Amino acid sequence: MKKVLSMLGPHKVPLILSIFFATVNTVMQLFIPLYTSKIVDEGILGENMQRLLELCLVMLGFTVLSIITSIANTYFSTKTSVGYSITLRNYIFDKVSRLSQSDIDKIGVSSLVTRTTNDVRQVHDIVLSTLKSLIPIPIMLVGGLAMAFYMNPKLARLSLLSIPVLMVLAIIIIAIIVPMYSKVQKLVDKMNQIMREKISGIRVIRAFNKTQYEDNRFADTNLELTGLGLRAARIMACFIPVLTVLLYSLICVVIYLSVDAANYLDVETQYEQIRATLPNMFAFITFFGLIISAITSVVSILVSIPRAVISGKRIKAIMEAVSDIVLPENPVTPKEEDAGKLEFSNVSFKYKPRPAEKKKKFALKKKKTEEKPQKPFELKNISFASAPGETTAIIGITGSGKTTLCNLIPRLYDVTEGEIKIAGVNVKDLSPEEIGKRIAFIPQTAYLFSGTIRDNICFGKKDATDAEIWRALEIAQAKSFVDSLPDGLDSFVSQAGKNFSGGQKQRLSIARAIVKGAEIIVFDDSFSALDLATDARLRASLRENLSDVNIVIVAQRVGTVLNADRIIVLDNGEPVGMGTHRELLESCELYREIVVTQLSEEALEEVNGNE
Amino acid sequence: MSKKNKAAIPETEYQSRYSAYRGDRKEESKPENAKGTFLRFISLIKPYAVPMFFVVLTSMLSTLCNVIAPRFMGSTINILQEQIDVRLSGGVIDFTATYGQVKILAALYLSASFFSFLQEFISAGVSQRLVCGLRADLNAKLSHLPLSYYDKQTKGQVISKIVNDIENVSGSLKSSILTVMTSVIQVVGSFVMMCISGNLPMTFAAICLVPVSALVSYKVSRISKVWFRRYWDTMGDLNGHIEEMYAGHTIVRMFGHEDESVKEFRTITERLGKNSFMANMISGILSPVLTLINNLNYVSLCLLGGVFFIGIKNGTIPANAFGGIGDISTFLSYSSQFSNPIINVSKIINNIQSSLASAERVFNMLDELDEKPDVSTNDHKDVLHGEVEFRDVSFRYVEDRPLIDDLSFVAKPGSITAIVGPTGAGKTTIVNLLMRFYDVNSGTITIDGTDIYTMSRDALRANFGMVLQDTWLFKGTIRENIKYGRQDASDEDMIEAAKAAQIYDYIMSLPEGFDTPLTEDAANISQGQRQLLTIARAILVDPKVLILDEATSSVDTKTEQRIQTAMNELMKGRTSFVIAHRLSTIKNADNILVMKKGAIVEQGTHEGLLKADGFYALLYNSQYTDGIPPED
Repeated sequence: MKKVLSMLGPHKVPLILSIFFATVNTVMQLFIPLYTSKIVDEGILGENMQRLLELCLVMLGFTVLSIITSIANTYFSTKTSVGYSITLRNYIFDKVSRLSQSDIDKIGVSSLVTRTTNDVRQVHDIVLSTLKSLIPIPIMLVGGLAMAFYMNPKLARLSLLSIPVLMVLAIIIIAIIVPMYSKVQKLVDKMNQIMREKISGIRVIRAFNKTQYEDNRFADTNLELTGLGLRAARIMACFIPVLTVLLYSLICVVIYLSVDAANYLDVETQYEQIRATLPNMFAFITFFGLIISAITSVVSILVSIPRAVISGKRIKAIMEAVSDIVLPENPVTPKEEDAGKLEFSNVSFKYKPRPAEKKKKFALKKKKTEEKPQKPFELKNISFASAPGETTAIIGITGSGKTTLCNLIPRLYDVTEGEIKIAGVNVKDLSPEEIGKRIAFIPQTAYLFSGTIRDNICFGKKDATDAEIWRALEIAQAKSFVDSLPDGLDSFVSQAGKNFSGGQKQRLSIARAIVKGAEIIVFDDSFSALDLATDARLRASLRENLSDVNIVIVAQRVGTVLNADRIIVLDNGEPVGMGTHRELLESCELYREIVVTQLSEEALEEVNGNE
Repeated sequence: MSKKNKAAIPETEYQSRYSAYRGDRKEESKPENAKGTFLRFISLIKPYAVPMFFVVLTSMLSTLCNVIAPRFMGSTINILQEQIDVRLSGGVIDFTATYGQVKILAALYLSASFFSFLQEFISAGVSQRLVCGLRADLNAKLSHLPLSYYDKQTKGQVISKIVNDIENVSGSLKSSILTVMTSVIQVVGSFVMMCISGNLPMTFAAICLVPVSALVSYKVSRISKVWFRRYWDTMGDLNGHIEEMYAGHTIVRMFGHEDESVKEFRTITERLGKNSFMANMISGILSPVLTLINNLNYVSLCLLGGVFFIGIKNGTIPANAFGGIGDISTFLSYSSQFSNPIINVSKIINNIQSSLASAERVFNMLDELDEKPDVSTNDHKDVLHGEVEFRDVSFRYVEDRPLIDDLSFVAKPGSITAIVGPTGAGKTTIVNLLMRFYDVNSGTITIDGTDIYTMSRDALRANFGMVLQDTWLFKGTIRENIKYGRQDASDEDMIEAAKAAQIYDYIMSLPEGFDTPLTEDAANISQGQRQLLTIARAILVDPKVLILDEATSSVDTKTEQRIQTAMNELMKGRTSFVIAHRLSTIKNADNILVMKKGAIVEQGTHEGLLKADGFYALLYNSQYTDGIPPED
């Protein structure tokens, strides 16, 4: 929470001003009981019309001042909290933009979105209400007591009685109510998760006849939440009335004792003091009234704190996430003649152990903190070099590290051992801009952004002309369907490209990469949603039109890789074969097995016969 | 996406740029039928009529006590003042005269506290149960909504309705209704008490500024409402932008789009900040302004009371017009009892507005049409043979766009039927119809001669094991996920299923084995591994009919073949349907349905279809040769 609050730094000035005005405002408010007492004392009981008018005007003055300071407080506290939430959001967004995909996956996109929007709002709300309502409370208590001592030390000592009462109440709040509400918050989170899973898995749930089971799971949490919420609400229900009764009784005692005190005063010498008994009493009653309303509002703020703390923790997790990728201090600019070259030398990779251990700190079971066994290598000893105009294909069984290999090229992850060179320079020495300029990457699942088709294609090259866009679409076999849309390039793409089929999305994302005119294009199984005919046409057109591009391609279908200059066969992260289709048929057992599963006997013979 | 400069952009441009995010949110910004929604909101309380009656009763009693109390407070103070005057003239203060008043006061305050406790206590029960019920209703609704509803809405929207809106409703339900109710009672009560006191000038002074407060509150809340709405709209824009940028993170990074995206984000947060500032500032000013008006009242009451008091003493005002110094205190209390409720109500007007808007969204969802109820509760779960027949089936998702027309085919018991064809041909639709995720427009589907529409959905689906394109796994361990379809399965069975799905070795290679937790969306394992897990899950159910819809699209062909070998063993004597792009997957099928634009264009075995040299042959050959088939 401290770290999250440290983002208040840039807003020191309005923050301090806001606290300043809150203080002034509170002091102003304390003058009101003082002047009430004076009005009653000097004006009314003193039967002095002139004085009454004067005092009323002074009081009016205080009122106006207190309003002005209160508005100033509102202004600065709003400015602080709004500015703070902007800073916080910008920080989070910048941070997330720099994180690697694996960091993002760890937290989950939906959770990241909630953290950037809703959680920040929770923290904003609590900062705002703290500045507006919480800060004045201690000032009010201390100032009130000071004022009471100034007016009548004897009565003031009596009102010190309220302190233990308030302490007990504070302890009750902190020890019982706050933990209760943080438990409620956890249940709410759990329920959201159940709902989320239910909605995203609706088909599977129905297919497995699990509706009843899911309903029960939901009902259990719902009832638990209701029960806890009810208990918390009922404790709160006792809280305010008990508090009121306590303070009223205190008022009674104060009134009794203060009036009774008049009996022990000497009428002759202490006439004035006796006369002032009632006005003082007025002031005390008003003062207690202020305390009651202050405490009531404190309680409502305190109750919302657990929620804000949980939000704060979630934000903190993002702030503390360490990006795996360290940017080079002195980026190297590659030589012109090396453009388009890609080289892997002895590359090995394993995922870093997840930093989830930290969370278990709070778990009671200590056993769990035993060291986890080392994660196995995802990739081992990959070496190859490819030049512009060549096609390198990667094939292998599920989980063999194909996607991981692709992700290493644009430095989405850092290699554990060995090095990757792009245009003759280690990727770790290239600036992200340089990498982005030289590599186009087409991930497994095509992702489009909302906007128009043109917007999406221009993602690759901001100033692409229509002719360039159409050419890219044509190469990606997307021209005919874009042509058939009524709005052509200006057709609307909804969020995540929902209004296009899987195959169409893949083709558009390929076009987006092509328009970029990169030296190296990486296709990570990006043809999987295409039917075979389109797949074949697309491959042919890629070969024809991108003759000077270095292509890296991951595929499941042997047909896709058949004509590659170099096929790398991965098994459990290790290269078990490298070469052309024909070479591998000869030398690589695994490759042959994969081919056999796909080609009919005749086709296989045909391939072999061609040799 | 589009280029822009860092400077603030004009309103119109902003609106047009972000209208995309708002497409589906129009109805949400404002309760359209506020009155109807409010009435329905109130009608939710009906089942709790008895406790609600007590809530109203206790809150009336408690307010009543609070309204009467200042009168006795005033008279107590009057008596004390008299006693002090006695003391000043040399006598002794005698408290006995006040005992009667103090007793009444104590009784009043105690009962006020007690009643307000009761009211809070009972209403907490009502509101918690009400919200619990509302959540349960929505959950039940989710279980009964047809799948087409989920297709139309984005996940985020549905989730937001359930999570944010319910919370919003529950948050302000209790406080809003109760605040309004007690406020009304308090205002009326104080007014009546002031009139009873018979001091018209003081009464007038106490209430003359109330219309001003009301007017100010009304005006301010109207302005702040506009800003709040802008705030929520911009919040939606922000949400949209973030969601896209986070979800497309890799693309953003790879295409060097971070700066643009950050710039765009800044534009939106700046705007959000401005709207948020205005909304909070304007609504924040309301409270000091009302306090000012309130304090003006306070001062004028002090002044007027003083004038009366001094006037009586001087004899310029008849003594019966005013009771004494205690009356000032009484009126001060009334004045605050009169204006505080107005301040409170004006403070929660925004809450009420937004909770009504949320309630409306919840109601809209509750009003969605359910799936057609099951015609029969006929639970004859045991399909003996598993013969599936489609007869003249027609279906369309959208009224005027026919998708499947007069489709007929028979899948013999124990046979493998493969469905192939280009994207959008209607392959998955067949599965959707068979599972009754959607209902046919015309025609019949039978299993072993029984029309599936005469069976209950549960009974029907109990016969199927299904592996979908969409690999849904939940947050939990691998064990829990595999056993999802059959929770009572033994570990041996689970291991068998994992072995058959070729995922056993992988699971055992993980440090925690079957107890490895899967994260949200199972992002910690690869797409291919996710598919294998869903296959293991389906195998464990041991169904009569197995449906594989692109179940192995991200699995390599070698693993796939091993799965198939295991599956073939399992599927002996059972009917299965396989949808695949990869034709190698379906070579062994007994019958291949080749679909194109919602119709079956060819049908037969792999060899037969190749010989026929039609569409299938074209598709198949394009896989290996350089022959490029023409576009369709």
